Amino acid sequence: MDIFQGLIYGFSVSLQLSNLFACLLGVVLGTVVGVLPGLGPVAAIALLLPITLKMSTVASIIMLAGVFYGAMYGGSITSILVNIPGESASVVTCLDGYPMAQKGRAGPALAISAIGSFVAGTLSILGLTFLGPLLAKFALKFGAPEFFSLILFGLTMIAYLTSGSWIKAVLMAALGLTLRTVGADPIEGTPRFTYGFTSIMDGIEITAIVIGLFAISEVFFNIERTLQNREILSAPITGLWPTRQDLRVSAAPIGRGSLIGFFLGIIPGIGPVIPTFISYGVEKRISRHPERFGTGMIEAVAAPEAANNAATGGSLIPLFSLGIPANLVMALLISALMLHGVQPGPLLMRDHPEVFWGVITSMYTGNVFLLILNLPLVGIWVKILKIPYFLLFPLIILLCVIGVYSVNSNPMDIVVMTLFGGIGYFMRKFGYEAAPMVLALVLGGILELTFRQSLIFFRGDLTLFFSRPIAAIFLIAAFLVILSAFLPGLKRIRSQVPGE
Amino acid sequence: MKRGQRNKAGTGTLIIMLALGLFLFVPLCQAAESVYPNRPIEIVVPSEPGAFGDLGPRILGQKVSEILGVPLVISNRPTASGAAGVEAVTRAKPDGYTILAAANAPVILVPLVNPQVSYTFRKLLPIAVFAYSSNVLVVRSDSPHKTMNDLVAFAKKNPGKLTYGSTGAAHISRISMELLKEAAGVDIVHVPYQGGGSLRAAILGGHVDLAPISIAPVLSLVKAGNLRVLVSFSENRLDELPDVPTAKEVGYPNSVLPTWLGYMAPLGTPRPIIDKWNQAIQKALSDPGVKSELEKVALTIDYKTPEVMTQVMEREERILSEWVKKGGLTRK
Repeated sequence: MDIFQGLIYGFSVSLQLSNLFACLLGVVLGTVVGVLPGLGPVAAIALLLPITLKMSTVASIIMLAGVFYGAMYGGSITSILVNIPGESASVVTCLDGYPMAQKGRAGPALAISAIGSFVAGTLSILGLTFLGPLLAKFALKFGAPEFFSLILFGLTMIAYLTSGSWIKAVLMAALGLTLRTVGADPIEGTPRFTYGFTSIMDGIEITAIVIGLFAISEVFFNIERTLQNREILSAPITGLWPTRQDLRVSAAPIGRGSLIGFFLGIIPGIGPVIPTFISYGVEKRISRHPERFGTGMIEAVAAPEAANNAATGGSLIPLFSLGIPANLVMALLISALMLHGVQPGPLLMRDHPEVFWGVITSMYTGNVFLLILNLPLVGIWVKILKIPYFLLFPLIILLCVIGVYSVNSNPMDIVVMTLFGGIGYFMRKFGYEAAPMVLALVLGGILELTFRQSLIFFRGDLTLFFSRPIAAIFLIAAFLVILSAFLPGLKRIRSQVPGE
Repeated sequence: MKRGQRNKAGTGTLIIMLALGLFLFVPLCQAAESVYPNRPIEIVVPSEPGAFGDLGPRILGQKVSEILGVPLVISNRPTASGAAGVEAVTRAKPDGYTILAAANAPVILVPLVNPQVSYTFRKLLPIAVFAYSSNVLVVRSDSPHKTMNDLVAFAKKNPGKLTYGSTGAAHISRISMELLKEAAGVDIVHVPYQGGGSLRAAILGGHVDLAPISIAPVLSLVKAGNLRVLVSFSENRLDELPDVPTAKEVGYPNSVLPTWLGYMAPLGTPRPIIDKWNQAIQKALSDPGVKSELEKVALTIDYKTPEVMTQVMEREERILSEWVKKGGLTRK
């Protein structure tokens, strides 16, 4: 069966009424869990697993995949409106999305993230359709040394995640890496800095820290402003839709975000978070106005949103062609397939073409559903900002508490979230930004694991990193990014910031 | 299965399910002294959603819930390799409304390797074992090692040259491999990965030479000719791979450690409740639908009474604690 026959066959499956309905249900549920902080697609899919036993295999996988990419759409909504990253992949969206909302431009921010997500989603499915099996082999070339170098490169993106002091950003990243060492060590399992608490044996829950740093500290900050009788929105809400100018400046960033997200999404273990940081960094690096990043630039919302949606398409490649999950959600999809007696892996396309092509083509329709659903909702979401803050903030806190608790059913996580809400408040007061710390937290675990795995492979010889071509390329790229911090181009950016 | 909580929720919204999950933790003060069970039972699963330590209780739970006539609500507590979940059950009220979906890793292995964990399996009452899953040792199909003997011979001549990946330092499959290494007297370097997915990528990509791993997710890769199974760490040969010898057959009986799944209750839970559960599990296991669904995720039905379950746990604790005392986890 060639690709076009496959696509036609796939559409004949995915456009059946029951499958179409499963797709709609999946993307709607996905949007809902994306909006709720902490509650990500993982928890939602786990809850839905037993229900899918009553459905056909194709319909179940269509629905569960819909939850996943639907959540990527939904995650941006609360990031933009109230500075709550619906899941970690939306942290970067907060950086410019929330300032846009404060300037009264929540509508265009929401619309561009829906449009960017749609374009990226569609592009990544095209990539999945035409390049899938080829790229799966490439993904396997990533061993521990390659991962380590890629992650190290990702970490240099802190250079672009701050509009303030470079030293403060590095300090925050170092703090993030340090916090990440709490818990069982990834090689031997020896507890570190746990002081006898079982609840932090797996480390401090990152979702709790992220929501504390972003959402809770924002609430504290806004309460203070309200008490001083200052407005939270610095400008009245203007137009709901992106202007022609907005669309023009967002087009190329969406394209670049899609490419970055898609290719990084293929590599097992990367997930949708890292591509968002890298695409933000890339946009800031090549922008003619890097100094305005962080103040509400529409392209800085469009690119990362495109990246996290493209990553979802990419991550289906190792799943469908090798049965290897690229992230936790994919691991759940494998469980779902197995519950239905379908073995994911190289034989999937041959033995179960209805699943393979049905799911892929359902993603085209799913993305259309999401666009149709999300654009009209923009007007309703924006109205949330008109709710008086004394009514809104208890709701935000309630959502955060439920969301953080639902991740591990661990009450300690709520304490952690509150604590980091306080820390985040003071960080903000003294001009320390949270994004570099979050990036370091997200990357720290895999950075340490892959570094130590590499050392086992290399018998402790560090120079051997350069004997692996892919690893060497990323290491050199990381070095160049650090070097460029001392070159005129980047210095110009930094010196201009205080004058903002 | 119509009475199961989760199926009812299928028509409702996700939020309602969440709310239910949340409110389970609020102690429900009810006039007790009516027939057990008369309200939802919380099943603590000490592993992540979708892992087979979670899938097993989810599949069986649907039937058990139908037999007991109350919903079973699953709460996943994977923190600290499941220690958080087990610990919560040891501290729960022994009224039969908190039950642990037990497995050997969190109940027996974790307390031996983690000095912070204070429970042992004796802090819980066994109800029954209901299924097990086998681990196997795989190599890439282009590997020069065709049999276990080839491998051991090569490893003896080249100490420290081969590498094996594991799903984590304190995982049952890794312990099987270490016990095998010890019995064979070979030096194979251990590289821990996080979970089965990244380990499969590492073995397929040729980054490690060997991988002791659960059979279920690699079966299709074996059938497609990407991987080859050298030995299975199970009591008997596997139905899916009748040509593969067991570790016992090739001379390493100690490394036979299947991952079993069962149920346990807090110490002090009344005997009638344990019996009621035990009967419900037996009845559920006789259902052909349950059997085939468990088989799909490579779980083999294996009912064991509380008494036999205790013997199994004692054997495993003995083997594992000897190994831990000799240096265990920290040994290269």
